[in-house]
Amino acid sequence: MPSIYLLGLQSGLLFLLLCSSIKAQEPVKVPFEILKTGHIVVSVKVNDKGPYRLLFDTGAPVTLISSKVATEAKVIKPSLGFSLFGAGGQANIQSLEVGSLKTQNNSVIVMDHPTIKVMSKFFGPIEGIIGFSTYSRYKFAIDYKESSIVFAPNNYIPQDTIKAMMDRMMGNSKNRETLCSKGVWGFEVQKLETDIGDGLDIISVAPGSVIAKAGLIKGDRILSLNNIWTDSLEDLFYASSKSIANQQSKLQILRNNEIKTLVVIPANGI
Amino acid sequence: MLFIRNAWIAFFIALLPILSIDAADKALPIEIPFRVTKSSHLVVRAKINNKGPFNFILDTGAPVTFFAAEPGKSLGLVSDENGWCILDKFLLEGGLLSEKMRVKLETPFQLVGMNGMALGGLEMHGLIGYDLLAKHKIEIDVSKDLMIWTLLDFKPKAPLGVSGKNSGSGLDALGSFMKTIGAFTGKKQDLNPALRGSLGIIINPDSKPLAVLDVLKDSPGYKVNIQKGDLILKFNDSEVTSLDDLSKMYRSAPEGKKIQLEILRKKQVLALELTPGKGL
Repeated sequence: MPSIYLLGLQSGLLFLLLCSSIKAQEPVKVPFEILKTGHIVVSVKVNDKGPYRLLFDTGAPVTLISSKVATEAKVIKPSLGFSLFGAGGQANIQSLEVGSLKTQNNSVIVMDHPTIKVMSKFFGPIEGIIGFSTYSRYKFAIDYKESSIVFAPNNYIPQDTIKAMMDRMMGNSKNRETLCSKGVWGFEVQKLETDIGDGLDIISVAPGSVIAKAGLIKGDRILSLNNIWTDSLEDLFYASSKSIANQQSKLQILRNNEIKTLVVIPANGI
Repeated sequence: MLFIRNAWIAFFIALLPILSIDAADKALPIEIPFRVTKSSHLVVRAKINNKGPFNFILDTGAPVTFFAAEPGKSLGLVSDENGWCILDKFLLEGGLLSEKMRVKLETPFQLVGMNGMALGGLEMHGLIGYDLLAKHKIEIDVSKDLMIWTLLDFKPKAPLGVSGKNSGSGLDALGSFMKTIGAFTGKKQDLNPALRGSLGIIINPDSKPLAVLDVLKDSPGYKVNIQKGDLILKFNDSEVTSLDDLSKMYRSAPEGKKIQLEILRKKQVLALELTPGKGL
């Protein structure tokens, strides 16, 4: 009796799993285990093998699996030579399943990472890391209190970090970047070399501009734009390059020792 | 009876938002700006004791928050015998303030390596780890520029160290190795970006060819006498098809060079030369 009951329960679970992978656009809640070191461990199936325990690490640029998993899940041929830390280099995983969340086509690194090996000694086998190359493809919310992460696809396509890093090391990186405002605002700032305070001085405001209409005046000090601190010209240009013409932006300014918030819609134009 | 039941439900539902506002009083979500570095790290900025900003990698793989030794020294911070230091104020960009925050005042070998090779494109000053992260619910979407932090009513357990300083077992050596290589190959962080101000020309995005709606006083456009009603035909000899197109061309125009605009005014084609402005 108990075994039939369990079987029923299992097929029920399987059915649930199938359903949730069909509704791939729905947010998916994945429970995690928290190690005594504060690390997040999720249970992951690789090409339908496993589950394996992997760290969820926002500080890791790439997803990484051990050579053991790579062999078992037929990610690489076992005969492939391992070099640095048992690294088989870059590989592609057809399917990576975290809870009921299934990700296709994952670029991973095969490596027996020494830190992971040390952790495995203390907390049982850990077979890799979920890094940026996987998690960036989702909007996610980490909740340590609930021990869960909620994932929803965001259509982001991550760069090939390893290639970008190799290019950088070989000196193939691009020229210096240009930061250019989105939209036309109508003000100018300055930062004197002796000025080490927060923010920038507004030295002119164009009459009739959107920023003049929002209430900015010469002599104000701009502290932030859309929550980004504007302590340097570079900061301000970065923040304005991230804003969107014809959409609301939020400025924090200092006037007569009082902090005010102005809402402005940068005008279309160049 | 039904009326009473409905009224009661309505009352109950009406009460809910009030309750949740009360509960949210302590924990309003805070929008924290972040950047994705060239090395695919999520970086947030923080001011420490009103100094900075400093760049921190958001790292669920770090058990505690680290602040690198060198910037720490420049702020006059001193650590105890175990490397801990209490920061009076740790303010994350966007406005999340932690007071009397405990950090490890040391440079993890990963940072030594990354900064040595200039992998991120910008200097990294620390890692934000479990001890601060776990107190919050954190929503991240890499395709956006802001993440959302909400304080939880939750006290995370103090994390355990695995085996002291050398849990990297060989990787720490790799960190200094990369720094050495970096020094040999002369790797530097990215140059300061070029800053391109606006031309002060306000354009109707729905017009074709693009029509000037207004020109801001004293702007580069004003100085070459661009007028309301002018039509923009060409930018640096390329035809302009849309405002999006024009904005992209302006953003990617070569640095230090003047901008050529071809304009149609009252059946006359004019060639104008402008210098990008300093204002926004």
